[in-house]
Amino acid sequence: MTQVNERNRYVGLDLTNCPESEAILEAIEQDNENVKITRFPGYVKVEAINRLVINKESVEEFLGDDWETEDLQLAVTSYYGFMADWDDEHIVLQWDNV
Amino acid sequence: MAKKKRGLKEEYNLLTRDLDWDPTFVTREEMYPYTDFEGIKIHNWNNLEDPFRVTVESYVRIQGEKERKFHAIRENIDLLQGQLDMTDARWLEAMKIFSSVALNGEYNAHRLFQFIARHVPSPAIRFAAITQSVDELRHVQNEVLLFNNYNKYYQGFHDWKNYAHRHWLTSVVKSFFEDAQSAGPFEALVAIAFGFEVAFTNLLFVTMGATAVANRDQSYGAVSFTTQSDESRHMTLGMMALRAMIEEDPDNIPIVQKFLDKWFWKAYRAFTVVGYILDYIAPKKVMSWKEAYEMYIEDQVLNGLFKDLEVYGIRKPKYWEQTVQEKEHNSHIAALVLYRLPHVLYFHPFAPTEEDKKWLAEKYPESWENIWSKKWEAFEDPNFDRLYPGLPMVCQTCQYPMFFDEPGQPGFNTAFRTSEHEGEVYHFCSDGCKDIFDDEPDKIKQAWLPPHEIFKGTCGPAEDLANYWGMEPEDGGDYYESVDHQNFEKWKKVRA
Amino acid sequence: MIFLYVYVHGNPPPLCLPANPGDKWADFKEVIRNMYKVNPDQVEMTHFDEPFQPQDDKTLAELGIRQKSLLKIKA
Repeated sequence: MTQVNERNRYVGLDLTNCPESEAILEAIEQDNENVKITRFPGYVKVEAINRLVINKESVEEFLGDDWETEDLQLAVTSYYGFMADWDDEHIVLQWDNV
Repeated sequence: MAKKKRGLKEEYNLLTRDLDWDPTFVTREEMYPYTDFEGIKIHNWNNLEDPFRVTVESYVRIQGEKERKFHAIRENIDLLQGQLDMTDARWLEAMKIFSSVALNGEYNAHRLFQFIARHVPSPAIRFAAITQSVDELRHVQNEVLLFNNYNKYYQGFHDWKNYAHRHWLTSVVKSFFEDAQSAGPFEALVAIAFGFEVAFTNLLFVTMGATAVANRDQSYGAVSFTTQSDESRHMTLGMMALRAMIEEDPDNIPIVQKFLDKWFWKAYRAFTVVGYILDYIAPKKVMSWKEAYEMYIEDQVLNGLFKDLEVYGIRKPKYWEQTVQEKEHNSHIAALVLYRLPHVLYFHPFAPTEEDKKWLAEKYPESWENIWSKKWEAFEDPNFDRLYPGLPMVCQTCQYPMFFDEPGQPGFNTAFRTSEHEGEVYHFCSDGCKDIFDDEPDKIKQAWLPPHEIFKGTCGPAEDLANYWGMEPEDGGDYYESVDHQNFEKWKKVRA
Repeated sequence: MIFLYVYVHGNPPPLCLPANPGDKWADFKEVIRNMYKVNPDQVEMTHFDEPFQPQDDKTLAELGIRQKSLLKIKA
């Protein structure tokens, strides 16, 4: 298991409380390792070490509805890491130099 | 046969990036006169892409959806008398500060993005900056609309424009944006996209938003999360532009480093008042300034982002160590100093209650008992002259009253720094603020410092200052003696 | 008119005070006495960081006080 250290660092998203966010969270938990979830009033922080992927297919499965990757904008309130890729199928958040 | 739907990337390239054109009536240099002003070298402007891949169509659809959600909440607040649901009306002191500081800030951010959109010759940055300038207007309008509701019931919301333009305290944020607006386009971009969006707005909209939710202020809860959802895009612009500048040419590194040093420090200082809101004003507290600073600045920015940038030769912003040291102290200093100014503020300062003190002791085990609780004891002594007797000296650069301590010597050991320029002396609260002046003395010397202007008579007769600032007599004074407090207690009983 | 700043140790922020360079120290020290409730004759003072021992009959200008001078007082 990857440990957080000098080079390995969390990337993460803050998601506003809403049904889509819950589906996104479940999709992230399923598709990534070392996922950390912290809840705050009104929002939830989800983090993974170095890289975090959101797959459209997984989100749709948990949501039980159509979901476009650009709809992440309706749920995400903040993030850290670089948006390394964003297309119709997935979104990748990562640190490039680990 | 139906055509295959275009993918996000293709759509973005066709409808945003490739819509750029080469000027024919004027030269490129005439069209973008500030490109070389700061010495930043970009070899291929088309290398830049916005990872969000925003097109006009997707922008309008997503923003329309955000607005729909937001206005549904807003209308419900009126309908369900949300103004009575808060834990305590004291929370609204935070909203008064926010209205005077942030509305003006957002409007100036709108102007700043217009400037960036006009002058940075990259189609990706220009388009992103155009949408972001529209975002900022949306923020101002939504916030004004919400404060309209508070204004029906509470003092301190009736004249936010005058507070924003004229009150001595708001000069802090005004000077921040005026400095950025009069910089070159790349510095402006770093100021807003890095200093504000990547680093510090999280504390204003996420942490403060969560605190609003915990205090059952649905108004700010709604406004903060819808606002910050746009900031995610703004962060991306900041990160993209930052990396592009760093990667395009090694000559850019020292220039970018200087921008980062300056705007990290300026944003850090400007956000001091947020610590006061989280640690003191919030009746129900979610996260201390110290905890919020550790999460959003230390973990995410200093030990996150800057670790990624160090391979390019970028180091953490100057004086970051001082900001980490000060996380134990600055909210207390601000609260103590503001406590002495109830006569010249448009919100109600107060001394912490027993419950507040218990929480502060728990969150600040290092500094509360040894230093700051003792200062409060002295201030609450009946023989202590609470009212500050005049106008404070302010820092030439950040324009906060000179109340920050010498690094490593907390406890009202005020730091002083000075520089001489053209035979005149200038005063600063810190090395960070002094360095900014020393680098551009002819710019920062022009700062409009409220105490000086007041004495010069620029703000009208001294006895009429409150009027000049837009204040009504009930706006100031201690919270626990205020009409707001009395009314809230009364209404709460009626509602119960 | 000049502005000068008066800081009593442990009492941030310093005051910004308007003054006339021709004012006698005897008059100006009364302003300090009123504002800070200290006895200006029995304190240790620095002008910026230089020791400062003013005489009552000297003017502020004669004492070297100029635009934006900083007086620090240890009460």
